[in-house]
Amino acid sequence: MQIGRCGTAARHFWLALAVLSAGWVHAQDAVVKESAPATSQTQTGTAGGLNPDMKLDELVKQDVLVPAMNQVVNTVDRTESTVGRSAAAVFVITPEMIKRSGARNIPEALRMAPGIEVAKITSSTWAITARGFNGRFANKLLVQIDRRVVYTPTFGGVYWDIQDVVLPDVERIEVIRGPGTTAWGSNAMNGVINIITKKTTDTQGALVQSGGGNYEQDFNTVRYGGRAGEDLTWRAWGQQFDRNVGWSGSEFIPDGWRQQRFGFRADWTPTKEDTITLQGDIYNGHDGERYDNTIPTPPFSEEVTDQQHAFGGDILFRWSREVDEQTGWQFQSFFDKTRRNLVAWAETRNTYDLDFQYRFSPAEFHQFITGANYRRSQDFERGGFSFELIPPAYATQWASVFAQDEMTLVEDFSYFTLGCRLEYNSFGKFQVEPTARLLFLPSKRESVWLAVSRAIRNPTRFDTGIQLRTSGPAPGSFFQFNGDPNFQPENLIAYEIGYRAQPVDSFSWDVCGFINDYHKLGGLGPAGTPYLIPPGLVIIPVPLANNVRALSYGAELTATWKPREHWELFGSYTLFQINATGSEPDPFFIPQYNGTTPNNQFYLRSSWDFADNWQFDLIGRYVDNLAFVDVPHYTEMDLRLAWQASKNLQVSLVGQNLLQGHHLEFKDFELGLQETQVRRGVYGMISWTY
Amino acid sequence: MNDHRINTCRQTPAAARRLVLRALAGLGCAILILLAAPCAAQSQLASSEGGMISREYPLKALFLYNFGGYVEWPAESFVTADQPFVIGILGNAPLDDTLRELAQTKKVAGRRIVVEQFPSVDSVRACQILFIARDVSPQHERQVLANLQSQPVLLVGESPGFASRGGCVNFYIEANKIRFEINIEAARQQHLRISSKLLALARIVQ
Repeated sequence: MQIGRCGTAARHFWLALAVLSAGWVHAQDAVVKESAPATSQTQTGTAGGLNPDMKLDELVKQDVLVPAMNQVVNTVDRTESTVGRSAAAVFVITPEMIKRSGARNIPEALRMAPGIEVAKITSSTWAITARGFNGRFANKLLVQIDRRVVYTPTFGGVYWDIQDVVLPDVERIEVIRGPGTTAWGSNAMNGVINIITKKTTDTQGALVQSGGGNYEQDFNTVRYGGRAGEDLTWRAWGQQFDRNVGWSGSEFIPDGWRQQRFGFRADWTPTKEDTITLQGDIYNGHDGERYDNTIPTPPFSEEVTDQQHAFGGDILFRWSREVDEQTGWQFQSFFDKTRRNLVAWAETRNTYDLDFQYRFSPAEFHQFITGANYRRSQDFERGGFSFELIPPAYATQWASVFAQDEMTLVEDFSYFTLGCRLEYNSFGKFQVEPTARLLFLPSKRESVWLAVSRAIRNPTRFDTGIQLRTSGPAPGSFFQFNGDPNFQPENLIAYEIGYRAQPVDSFSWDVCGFINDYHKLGGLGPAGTPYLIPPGLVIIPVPLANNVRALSYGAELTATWKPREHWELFGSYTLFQINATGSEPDPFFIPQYNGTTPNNQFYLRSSWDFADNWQFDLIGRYVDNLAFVDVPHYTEMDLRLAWQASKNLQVSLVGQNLLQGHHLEFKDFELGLQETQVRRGVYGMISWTY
Repeated sequence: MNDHRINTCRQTPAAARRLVLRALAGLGCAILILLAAPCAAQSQLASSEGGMISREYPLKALFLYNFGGYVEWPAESFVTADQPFVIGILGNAPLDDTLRELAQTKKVAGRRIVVEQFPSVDSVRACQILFIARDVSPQHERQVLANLQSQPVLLVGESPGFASRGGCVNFYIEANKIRFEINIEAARQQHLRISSKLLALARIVQ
């Protein structure tokens, strides 16, 4: 079998599809239709595993008998389902897990998800990815907050410094590793992270959180939820934090970070079927940082100690109608404005998005979902000698439609999902993003799934228009990395397999494996002819090109065990291997792809309620070394002790990264940002609800 | 993009090819196993009932709590402003855990919730909702209905025909969902007004 041509990759896709199809035909023949009651969506919460805030109209839809793996998810294919019934590598972070982890922000909470690599660069900068290709500008992961897409078309990744929510108001964070492009569009290449906040009916009353420590210097959150009439509920909140400076290994770097944020959400249910949501937030932050800036005059490089001012806001409107279990639609629109301002660079971006989805059952045993999306994101950039985006203003546009059919092959036993998205992007050509997924439920406590998908990552402003200059071989000469205006979408064919089981109530585990075959990844083209620019500077142009291909494989294993009623253990292991190769000698992208993701990651948490009203949590994690950025492997530990002083008051003490005074996690290899190490931190917090 | 980070490409295309082949072989094996799985699974289906979790009583508890918002009790059934909303249980039904949990955080019409388990028919005292479990004998059921006749108590049961025998609300299970029937006339005799929203979800019986 010849590997290395796109045609072959496409053949693999269709071959795998054929095998999957054969699988379900076989399954249909082999098993007689079972007449057990249909099981469907269920909710978890406190009251006997149910959400205590359910209203009558939700209660009448609840199943009496449910399979054990019943954590709700809806990121996989945009419809509400459960982890046990998802043909994808799904992991759900619950509010309880966030609370017990001591996480202070979204990146810290994501550390517990298997298959996700979270590495901190400075106080306010992270490199976060799923299944490889990490970097400050990692670009193969789609992140949404309440279905508002938060990755930026500037570089295809997330500005983590401006993403924040009130953590106690998070309903759940759904983390999907593997392509989600059929449901969510390009960029959901290696994974999708969906941060979902609670409905306002679930956040009635007041919440005040306040705390501080040596690194998390101070943080405060105030939220109030109220009701206006029988059908309208709302909440409004404000929060603020201030984070201390970082340690470079030899000196303190003024990379302190502070931010203020205010937001609201209102949910109106005028009828039993309709929910209308309006929500928004505004923020204002200052990120300290130090970076090397290339300048046209000797010594051709200067160290800049900067205060990045990042501010903006967003507003989202959603109208959803649930006619019955099979039928419903949802219309959503959002506007997002964000600005950032540094000495070397400034950017303003306005994004508008329209999204519609409709699900129905055209025939028995078919659940159909279809939808359309349009997004326009206009930016205005101010660059300089060292870094520029060309043209300085550009409107990226996307238009796409998708359809997906979940076929019940044998009720409560096997399901086959076939879907496809057609997408047009103003940078790229017309793209096809199909997926085929097969799910078996051999018993009520087990599920097995297989999936084959094609995903793409659309070109970004960096890919098409970056002009980045770094010092060249001699003083006064510069390498100039040029984006390629004809940069092609990167593409991936992913093969995935997974198994999850809950053999007894107290133990569940989940394992999945994948092979990702990438083509047309970004790399360096052959250097061009040097030329002179005034005042006599030599420029060596190096173009970007789609000339790298890579093959990665890996596995993720998680397990939860509750040996005693008051003691729970959770562990995960992530294995990752990659081999990137290219036609050109590429000293930057190829070793970067091969050396920025750890081969092994372990995570272990023990949650112990050792007395009435007392909680003790211990977290250990191990992350392998990263060759490309010279980061050694590390082991770290977090501890949390919490006391529920009364029904309304909780006091907690958290220690983070306790094993070492400081440790290095990552480096910026693109824009010369001075990394700082992660410091040992201790903070105390008081949380009051009413 | 500094020089010290430059690294040579360690693996050759041939190595990549071997990796793909090995991976595809692995995937192939996995698919074969899966194709065989349905045959093995058939025998497991029969024993899979043990893998189910029943949420009947937590759900019923949530219903009882929710009923509080859709039924109007006469003003005289609450003597003082801070009098609690009492949900009573007669017979054996594992409702009290969920109800007590709800009672800690929830209120009905601004009143705190108190859950009372009544050990016998004679010990039943004033409450707003009385749940009569299915293990209560027909004789005791008749006795309770007679004792509480015309009193502002929402009588909720879970035995077939309970609503026709004078109960207000009766739970039943249909298609793996909890449903309920309502006897409007019986509720009226208990001086209760049931909201149309609740009636819309119920099966009405005489």
